[in-house]
Amino acid sequence: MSERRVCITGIGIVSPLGNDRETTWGNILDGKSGAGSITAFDAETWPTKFACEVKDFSLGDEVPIGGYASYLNRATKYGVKAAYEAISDSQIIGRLKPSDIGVSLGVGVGPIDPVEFVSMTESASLSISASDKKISNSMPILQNHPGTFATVLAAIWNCRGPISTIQTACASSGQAIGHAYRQIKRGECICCLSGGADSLAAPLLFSGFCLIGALSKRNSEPITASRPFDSSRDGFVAGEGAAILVLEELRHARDRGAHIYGEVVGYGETASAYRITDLPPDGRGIVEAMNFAICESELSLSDIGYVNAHGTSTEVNDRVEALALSRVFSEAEPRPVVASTKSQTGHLISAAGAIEASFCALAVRDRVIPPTVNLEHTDCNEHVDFGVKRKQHLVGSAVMSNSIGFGGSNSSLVIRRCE
Amino acid sequence: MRITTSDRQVVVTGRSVVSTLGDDVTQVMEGCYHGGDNFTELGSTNSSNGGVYVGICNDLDIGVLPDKKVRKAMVRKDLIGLVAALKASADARITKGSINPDQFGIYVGSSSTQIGDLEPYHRLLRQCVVNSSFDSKLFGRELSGNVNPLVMLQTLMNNTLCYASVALDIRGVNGNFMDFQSAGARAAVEGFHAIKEGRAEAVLVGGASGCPETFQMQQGIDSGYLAHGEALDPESTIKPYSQSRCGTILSEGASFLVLEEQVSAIRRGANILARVADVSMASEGDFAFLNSDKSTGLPRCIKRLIEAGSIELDKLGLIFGHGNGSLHGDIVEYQSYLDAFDNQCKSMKLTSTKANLGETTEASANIAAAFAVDILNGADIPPVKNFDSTGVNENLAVSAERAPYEKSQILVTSRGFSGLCCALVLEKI
Repeated sequence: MSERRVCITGIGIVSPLGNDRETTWGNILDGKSGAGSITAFDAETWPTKFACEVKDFSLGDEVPIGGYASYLNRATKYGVKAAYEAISDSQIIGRLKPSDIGVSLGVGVGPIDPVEFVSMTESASLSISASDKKISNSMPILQNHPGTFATVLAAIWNCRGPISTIQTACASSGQAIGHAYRQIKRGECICCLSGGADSLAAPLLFSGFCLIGALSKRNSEPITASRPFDSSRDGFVAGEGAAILVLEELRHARDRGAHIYGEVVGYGETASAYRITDLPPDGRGIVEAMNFAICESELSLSDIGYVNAHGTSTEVNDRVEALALSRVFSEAEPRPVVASTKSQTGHLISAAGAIEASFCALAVRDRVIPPTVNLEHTDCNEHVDFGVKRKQHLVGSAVMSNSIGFGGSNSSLVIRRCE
Repeated sequence: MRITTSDRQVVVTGRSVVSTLGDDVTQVMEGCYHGGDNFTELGSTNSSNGGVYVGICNDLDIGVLPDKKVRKAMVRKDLIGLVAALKASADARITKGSINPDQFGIYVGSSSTQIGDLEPYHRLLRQCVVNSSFDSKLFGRELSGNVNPLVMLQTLMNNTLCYASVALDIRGVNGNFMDFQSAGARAAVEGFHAIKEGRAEAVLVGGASGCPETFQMQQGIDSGYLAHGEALDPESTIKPYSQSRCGTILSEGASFLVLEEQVSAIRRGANILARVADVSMASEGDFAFLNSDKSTGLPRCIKRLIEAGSIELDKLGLIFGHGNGSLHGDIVEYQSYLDAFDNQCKSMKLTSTKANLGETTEASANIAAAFAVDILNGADIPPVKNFDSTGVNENLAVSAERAPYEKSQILVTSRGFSGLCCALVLEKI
């Protein structure tokens, strides 16, 4: 691989804790929760009645959406807003040829409305006399295809470098950022808009996770329901939101005097190859993703001061991830603090890796580690430092973000301070 | 584990095609040589004058599945993809454990979930939508008693990747791309780089496309993308690159290649079929069928390969294009080649097998690449069925007849709805 290095020069976030980067980050550091009763639909009879929803959202007139509004769903509207914030933050547009700007995203299938869904699928007959030869922009299938959002971003901001969308469940946007990092390193583009958008605050998607019993049923106390690594955890809390990062070739960023949050220095992606619904008990796959990312970063284990764990608050994930962390960092001195911001944001599924990588970059910028709220007593590996319930100072120059996807895909990113 | 910059060569050691004309590459190519196709009328239409057609992969060889029960855990496009992935690995004589699992990867181009497969979930949903209103309380009450949790697993869009990785013990690099018609080509690009950069010794790359659903078809009809209408004869409908083209037909299909690092492949005694000389990507910056009548992405994508020296004009005699008979896409694509080669392509031929196999979307570039591998090993160039004339330019000949191929490079291209353009250069060993 070349000597090209990759840094982060812009971040945009729409989350259950705020509709911009700094509001979200401030609430994360203050230990607030985004959980509450579901407002997107009436969940009174559902086994789980709460989620971490985005609140008081509007796309705003300032976002140059042009004619692409009808291509967006609830989640990708968050994504466009996050992209606008990230691009404004980086001030990159206009400084590069369009062909030097790529897009790499992790996006879930859209939160399609049940009425639209039934209307679409119950039509057994096709009309072949249509005279309108233009694409039906409002067709829900296009709005809700994961691949649509990348093209919308490319069209709005005239990005003509490589664009792509990855869908590996909860590892999607972690992998998307990893691929953006590699594209810049190998010279396919100078800058890449990367991140993800997703929403589980919709009955069809929410029902799937209810069916497999993955969601917390702590209906009486939504803000304490997401309890990564805590012995009383009973499932994850559904979330929604988006995060977009501007990744840029380091020399280019420095030459133009860009503000740099941190440098992406390592990325590992692996498959667990075990079972579709389960993790290998020894944490293999996750271990290898972390080892690869650390090895590529050329950092020592003790340089990594904080791991933003996948930490979903599900019984198996947290136990296995903790074991994997203890295996990887067994010889680190000091060991990194492990925390999960899902305790506050809920699980953003395809966007989880992106928002958590954003938190890692902000942690590097501010030299601070966010808390894991609701962690009282852990039953996970005793050799892992799960930190405390309040923010703390970041020791070490680098941080790590883990994502573990349903079906076996894993990703691990290492971000370090860029002196 | 350390990434190295090196002269690692990427070779092809296995390939598969699952298509409407069968699932043996040689047999499918024979079908294309003889003008075969296999399209079926889809459901009912509101017209008595003709219909809308699709391509279905009949007689899917589920005998290759390690566990037949997995059929129930995935929708059909994932099953087709899994069969193709397993067939490609078998073609490369890879068995579980024959390649270091950590150095074995998989990249898949995949379409969105086939929601039509998800009964009885649909039944309940339909009961709960009355007068354009969703009865959420009823749905919540009835859900767990009426719907098998398996429905959640069926909806995973990365199922081909997941099940193939378990079946073949693939623990290395992986990803599931959702880039419409270019998704499978995107997967091949990523697999190439993973091997080049030392992150994998072998990578399964491919794409899978399922039977389109009614509501998707309607969108294709409304846009003029799909062939439809009065007295439609499916056998002569798809006319790639022809002046008289009238749209395409969507088909099921899947295809995978096994890419391997050359030294590693030799070490395990693999049969090396071809070399992947280089790959490239670019994008249009808009939806491909909505933007201008000219592509900027595909010429840029190809020019990168020419400038890098990966395409050698005296070696390149064949472009395996995307050509699907669509009104807008084919002419833009054809013009792209003229632009990319500055009209210096009189010694090249352009071909496409979509008139035989239909538009296999996410799998289409992988099918073309699998055929290209066989052409580099002595198979003939398949003709473009139903071709009459481009009506544009004679500087790039469309391959209207079956013909032998004597040069050593083939360019495979893909240009998808998302605007992503990909190109692969395959070379004779």
